[in-house]
Amino acid sequence: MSAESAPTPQQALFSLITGLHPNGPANGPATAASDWVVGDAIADADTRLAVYAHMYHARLVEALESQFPHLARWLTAEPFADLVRGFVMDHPSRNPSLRELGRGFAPWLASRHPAAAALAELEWARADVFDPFDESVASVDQIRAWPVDRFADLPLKRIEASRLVTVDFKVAALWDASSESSESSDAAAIAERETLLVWRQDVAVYHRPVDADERRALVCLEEGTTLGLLCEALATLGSEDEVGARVFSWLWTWVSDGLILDPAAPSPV
Amino acid sequence: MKKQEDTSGTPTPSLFPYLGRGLGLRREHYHQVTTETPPVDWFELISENFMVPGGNPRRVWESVRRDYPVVLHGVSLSIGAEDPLNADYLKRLRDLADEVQPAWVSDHLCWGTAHGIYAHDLLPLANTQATLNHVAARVAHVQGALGRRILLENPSTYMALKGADMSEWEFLAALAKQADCGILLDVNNVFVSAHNHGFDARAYIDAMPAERIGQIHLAGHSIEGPLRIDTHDNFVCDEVWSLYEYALSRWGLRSAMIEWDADVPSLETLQGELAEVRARDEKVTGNVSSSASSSPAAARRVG
Repeated sequence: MSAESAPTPQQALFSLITGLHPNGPANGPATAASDWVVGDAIADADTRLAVYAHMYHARLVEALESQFPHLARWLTAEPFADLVRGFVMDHPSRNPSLRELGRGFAPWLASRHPAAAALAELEWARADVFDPFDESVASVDQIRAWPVDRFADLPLKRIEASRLVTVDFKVAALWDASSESSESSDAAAIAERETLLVWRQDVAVYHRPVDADERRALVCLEEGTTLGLLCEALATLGSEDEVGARVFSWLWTWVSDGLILDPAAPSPV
Repeated sequence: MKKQEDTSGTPTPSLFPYLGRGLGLRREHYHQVTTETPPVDWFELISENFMVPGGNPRRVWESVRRDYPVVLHGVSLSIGAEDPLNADYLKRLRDLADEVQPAWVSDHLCWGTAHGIYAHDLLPLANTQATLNHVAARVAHVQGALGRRILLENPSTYMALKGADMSEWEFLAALAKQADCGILLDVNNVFVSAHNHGFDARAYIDAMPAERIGQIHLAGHSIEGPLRIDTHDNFVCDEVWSLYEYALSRWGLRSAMIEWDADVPSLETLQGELAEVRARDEKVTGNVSSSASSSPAAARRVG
């Protein structure tokens, strides 16, 4: 439809309900509910259309509240709803599933409320690791049984259900402070760069802050590497022995957390 | 399409098998349903919640499907929209249905998209012959894409569009025949819309082609100002139970279920509502023998 053509009845109603005009204002006089909707003794056209307009916005606010519960609690209800209404005006849903609505929320918030954007980024990552296929992961026993003379060849790749989130605020603390069980959700956001590892183990989702060195290692694991190549990539961290000790320390944690793909699976490298 | 065998033994045979009394599966009950296998005949899964490759959604449907018959119920087909049908959505729905093997797939008689944007709502159609032809052609396309006959549900409506040349019930009945699809009749929605537009709810029931009714929804609603709103946040009210009994008297038993989406109560409370469905079924038809609501093992036999 060009900007000059008259809207179809559904397009006109859609604009009245959502407030959206994707192709620009229609040529000619603005339409009103009474142009399309039957009014009667029970309720007039405006009242009837207002039910749908209210439900449209309420449903989207509710959907994002369920995807960003900590952010909603931290901002409190009305400021959160105001931000959602602004977001969906700029980024209306183009996916059949409401699960996808929140995908662009954190980037949209970045220029408007940077701390909120940081918390939103963590919450979206937590939601995003929920859906990938379950993968077979390495066990501690497998690693222990790996031939010592072939340790350098041990394949290391992170599960798909994991994310690294780097933000400019201490969001782990903010997330804790805005949890349902927290007595106070009015914690101040502390501006300090932080990287968090987010992952799913079975049906539980976890996150924890990681330092810059572990972040470097986890980035290598995203595409897949081997233990030997990982140690080479981290050579600037110290002597060969120091790097090896740190990598092994991380390795036990990663394997215990179910972060590493089964090394017996086809090579990820 | 091949007519499926009727198993209900009801006065008017349905094109769809009788599953007994079911529940809409909601997130709040995923754990309990998958670990305790409560005595419910079947579950309705919201299609869009499970159209993802893996993770918890897949674990849930695989677990539920192992123990119960299921049906898939969508909210985003937008069958009546002027927008083109979403081919990617249809493919993903087909993939899900092929894996889940539901007793049937349903969505709503409505539209919800314009300009490729989703309102995530069930907006009412203009009840005209032109709209009917448009929707019937799209139902045929969807049924071809999914490889199965679908059911369409009457939504609650709060507005009627100008220019209608038939009633909603005339539209739905004609569509089901013209498009060779089934009907998921939401009795609560009939009651809500009848109140909101001032029509006779029983006339709606009377107009339905009984053989095409495959499923019934029952739910609670609320009253806001002059209108009744389909909020799914309460018990089924007495008037809706009465209308359900009337529908039973016209059609015989149909697979019926309780929907509850907001302020979701305990599973035990929902099972109490199912006991009420059973009592109404028995009162009107004197026949509950083909139901399996007392044990999931019996439900598996039906499925």
